[in-house]
Amino acid sequence: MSPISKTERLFNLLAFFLTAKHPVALDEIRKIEGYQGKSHAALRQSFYRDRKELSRLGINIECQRDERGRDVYFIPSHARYLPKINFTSEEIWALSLLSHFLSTHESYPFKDDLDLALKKIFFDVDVEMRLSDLPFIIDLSPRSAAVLNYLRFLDEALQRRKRVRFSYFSVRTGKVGIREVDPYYLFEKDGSWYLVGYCHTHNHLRTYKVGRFRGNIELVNPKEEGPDFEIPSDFNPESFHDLRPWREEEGAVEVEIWVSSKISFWVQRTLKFEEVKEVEDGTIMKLKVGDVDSFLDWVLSLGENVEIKSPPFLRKEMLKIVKEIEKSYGLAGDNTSR
Amino acid sequence: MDLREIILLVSYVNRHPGITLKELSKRFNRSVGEIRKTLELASLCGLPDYTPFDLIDVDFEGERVYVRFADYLSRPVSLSLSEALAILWGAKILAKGHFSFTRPLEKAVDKIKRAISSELAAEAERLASRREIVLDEEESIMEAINKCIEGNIAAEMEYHSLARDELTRRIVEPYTIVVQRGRCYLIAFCRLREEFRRFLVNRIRSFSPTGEKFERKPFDVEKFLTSYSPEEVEVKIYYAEPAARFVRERVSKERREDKEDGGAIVRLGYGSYKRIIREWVLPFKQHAKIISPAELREQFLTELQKIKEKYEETA
Repeated sequence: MSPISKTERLFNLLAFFLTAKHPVALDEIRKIEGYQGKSHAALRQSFYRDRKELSRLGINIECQRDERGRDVYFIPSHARYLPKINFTSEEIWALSLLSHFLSTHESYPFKDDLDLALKKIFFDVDVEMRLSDLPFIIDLSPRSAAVLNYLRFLDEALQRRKRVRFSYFSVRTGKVGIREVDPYYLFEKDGSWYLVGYCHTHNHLRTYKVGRFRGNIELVNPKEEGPDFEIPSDFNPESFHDLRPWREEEGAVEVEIWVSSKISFWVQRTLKFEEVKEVEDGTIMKLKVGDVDSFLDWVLSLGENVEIKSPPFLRKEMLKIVKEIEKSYGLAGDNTSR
Repeated sequence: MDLREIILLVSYVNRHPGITLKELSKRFNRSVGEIRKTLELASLCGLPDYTPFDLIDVDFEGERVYVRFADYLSRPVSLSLSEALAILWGAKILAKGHFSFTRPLEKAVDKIKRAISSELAAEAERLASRREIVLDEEESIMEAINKCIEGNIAAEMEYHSLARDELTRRIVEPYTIVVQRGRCYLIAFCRLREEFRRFLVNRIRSFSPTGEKFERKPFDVEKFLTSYSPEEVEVKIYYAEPAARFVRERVSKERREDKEDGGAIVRLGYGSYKRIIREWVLPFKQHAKIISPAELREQFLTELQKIKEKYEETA
């Protein structure tokens, strides 16, 4: 007789626990095909491995002590089956949109899980898609396959709270260095993915652009089962969404800018201002700036639509930059008039 | 098929006796051969003592399938953590579009959360909060757009064009919303330009339904998106270190020539001169230098002069 496959053994194990009337001791598991004839140690090892495998698939066999002091195992009745859920036709439509946009999307990180979850949820319902009516398209594809692979790895590490080690290219220094990070949070903004985590290389919370990861990524403690860290209760993910390097920090300078009426509406949408005052041709806004250099880059990126009004030293700095640019084009910076 | 899918397949056949292999193939998105093979494997499984009455009995009658002795698989097993997470996170992302189905989707997700254990729902919720797509669009504008898309209603829109650096007022016929690479766009027929256009929602200053119903024109949004490249111009810019490092992240090797001094020459096929100046030249200060065309260089130096005049007044 040929040995049964792992799938058959796991199926039998699940069937056994779904029908078990009471928690069962390890010895009773010997009745299940696939575990028969094993020594106690081999049975324990095999069962623990399979229990872990089922847990990975979302089926948790729990353990408790019985009155004889033995470990006994069971699947709680409430965790066995998904009950029938009565959805309205609108809710079914909304869920089917979720299915269409995300489970058909190759780069949706939980694609297979979503697909299976919806099959379970729609167990009692036949869903007909009305694709011609769809009001939107959501494209979650990262820019490269490499980023997608890093994201998959980070997702898993984040779920299991495992510390990761990776090589990171610092665009400021131009060097690649090793980082060990406890991954807390992943987010996409303006088409790029970022990891926020506690960096053990720098000993504080940092944001890393996933597109700057290089080479391999690995778990720091792959053999240890449990999580490597806890996320502090005061961790606030949203505070990391503002990626402007000049955002407010200690020792920040108070700056007043004029923004033309053409663009002031979206500048106000994207930045926090301490004070906003409408003037005839635009808006005067006050804000605090930490890193002055990168703030000047931002002001330049808006061209003639923005002017720094104060402090005077920043106005001087801006004039100096403009003259340096002119010089780089062979123009005499100080008194050139075009 | 993994075990979860095998279990679900057996449960489904058990629940729908006489279902055809073809129907199963469609529902599970697997070939008829795979479905048959999987069900044959299931027939080798069951409960102790594994007599013919304990093993799952799978009967194929022509194209139809029946399952017996698997009463314990008449409902799907509960959602796993990763399945619950997949639903919650997906719903969270779609909610960002402020679409009209957001409310029913939230209600459906609430029902799902109530159908699974509270610990599982809480853990899935916690994990879903650890991954985010950040979109900062104005809720009121998104809602107005969605209403117009659903009702085929034309709207008057004030829009700031990055390419022209102009704030214009125009009537649009909104067709769809596209979220792509972290940006949210409205695809609409623009009556001002008399063609389909893509608008960054964040750049829409106001969006007011006119009340006028419009007739939808034949329109293939996928085709439109793949072929959309407005007014492309080719320019050459040299970037010195350290600017070159930032630029290398954004420009593919095909459009870049890396130099021995650490700098890079980049060829951009891009929207408009104004946009190139603001996005690709000015923020890099003296580290970016326009090589060609001369017209772009002239336009850049003119803008630079205007900026200089602002600061010469009092500095």
